[in-house]
Amino acid sequence: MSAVPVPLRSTAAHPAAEVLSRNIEAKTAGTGYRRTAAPDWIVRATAMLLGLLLFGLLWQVVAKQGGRIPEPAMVWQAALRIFADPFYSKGPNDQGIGWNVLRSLERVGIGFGMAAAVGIPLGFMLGRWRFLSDMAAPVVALLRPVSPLAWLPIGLLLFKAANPAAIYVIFICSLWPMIINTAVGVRQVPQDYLNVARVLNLPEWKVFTKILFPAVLPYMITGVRLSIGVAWLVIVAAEMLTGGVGIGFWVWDEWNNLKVEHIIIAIITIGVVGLALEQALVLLARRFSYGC
Amino acid sequence: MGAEKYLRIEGVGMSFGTFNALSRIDLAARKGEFVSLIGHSGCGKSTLLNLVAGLLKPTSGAIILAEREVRGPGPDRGVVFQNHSLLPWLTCYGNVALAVERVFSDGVKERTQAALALVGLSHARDRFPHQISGGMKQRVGIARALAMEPKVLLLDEPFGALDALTRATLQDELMRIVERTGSTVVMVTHDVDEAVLLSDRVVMMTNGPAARIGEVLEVKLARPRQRIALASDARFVSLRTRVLKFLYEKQLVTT
Repeated sequence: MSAVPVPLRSTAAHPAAEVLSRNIEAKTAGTGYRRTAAPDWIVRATAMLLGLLLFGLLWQVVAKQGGRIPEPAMVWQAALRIFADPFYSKGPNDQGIGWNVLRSLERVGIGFGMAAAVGIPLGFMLGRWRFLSDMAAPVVALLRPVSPLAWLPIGLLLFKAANPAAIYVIFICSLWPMIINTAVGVRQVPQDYLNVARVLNLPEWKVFTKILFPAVLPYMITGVRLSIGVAWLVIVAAEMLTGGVGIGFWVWDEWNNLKVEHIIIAIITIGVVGLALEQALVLLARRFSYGC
Repeated sequence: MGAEKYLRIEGVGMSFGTFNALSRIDLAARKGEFVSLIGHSGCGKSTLLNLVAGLLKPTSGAIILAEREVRGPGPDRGVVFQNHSLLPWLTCYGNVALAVERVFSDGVKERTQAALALVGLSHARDRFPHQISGGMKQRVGIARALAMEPKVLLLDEPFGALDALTRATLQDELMRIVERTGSTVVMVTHDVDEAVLLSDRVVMMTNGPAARIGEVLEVKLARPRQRIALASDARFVSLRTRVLKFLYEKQLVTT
């Protein structure tokens, strides 16, 4: 277990983003940048808008070059049509984008939930007992770098149906971050806290509820965040392969219909949903990061 | 019975693997006595305290508290650690209550509040450790230890991490609290003034490995003690000098 994820204690969503935002802070605090009269948040919002605008412009230029890439305005029109009725249902293969997203989220939720139910207790055990951890280390090290999609055929073989196979892939890919982060968290519980438990001679369940669990919680949430992130990446690919109703399948279906503007809408939708999941968990993590 | 020898450390030796930290320590404390252990760092004074706390098991000898042998950690000994060791997810109240609940089944709320009042922190009961100063954290640590009404209070360099002014305030406060509660205290320190000012007896330890008790100094200064008055008191100065001589002439570390 070489990768040791650090529990999230700052507001930044991603380690890289954290470094980036720290740099920005450092620079505005220093003398390198000119000070502006406008409040900081206005400057930042303007910068973000400008970035989006530039992105749109670049897209427009690329679209103008011909090929099949639709222009932003075209995509916008298509999006208005799609989101006018996101929850229609015309048979199993023609449903609104809302249903597709919800079905994907449902698969992620079930697969992730099962992974949490297995991974978190397992992580606690691996963190608590060295022998178990050494036992699990080679298996985890070997299986962790495997693309979750490589597990799909095994899932199809086991469950003989597409939907459970997709959920199973989510389960597998969500499992590792949760096991590893929880185990690391348990191992990082400061000896001071455990000494408190010892001098007070606390009963085992109280050691768990009052000391171990709260101490490990930030690490666990990091595991959850990483898991959900990976799961959301993987579900799209898994659904492309398994079919059914789901945003990944929808992308593939629209590719078969050659509706490129719908594919772009799907990409943006996937991005927005992923961002929302991430932000929700960042908020959760901040709630449980004790300023110690 | 054992009021004279309330806490007995009898022939206690401690080895970590092949490293011999303590060799045959014999020490007894009266009920209500304040004993300091002083020595250079690495002399095993914290090890001795951890043995009394039950966090370590002695390689030889025994520790007897109120006629019962110490066989592990327990709430009859209240420990205050140097780095406060408060749980950051619990408020001051929660940290103290955790200890109180362990010992008393009723009146947890009243006892917890009384303990916080004793250290002057009633106003901070709902604050979290990161919201209060280092000195306040250490006070909560003391409240947590005292709230269990332990037979002996064990202080491991309790003020070592604090600035000099805060340290002085807390020393005065500790003296006041100990006088009021009549606690038996064993304190580890490397601060000569602190040892002489607070203690009834200062136990000076030789340098490790195989540390022993070098000298024991009785501090027969009347209580309550006033730090400013004592600073120019000839008896205080001479006691202080004796500890300094032990530490810097007889036990000079060559580092």
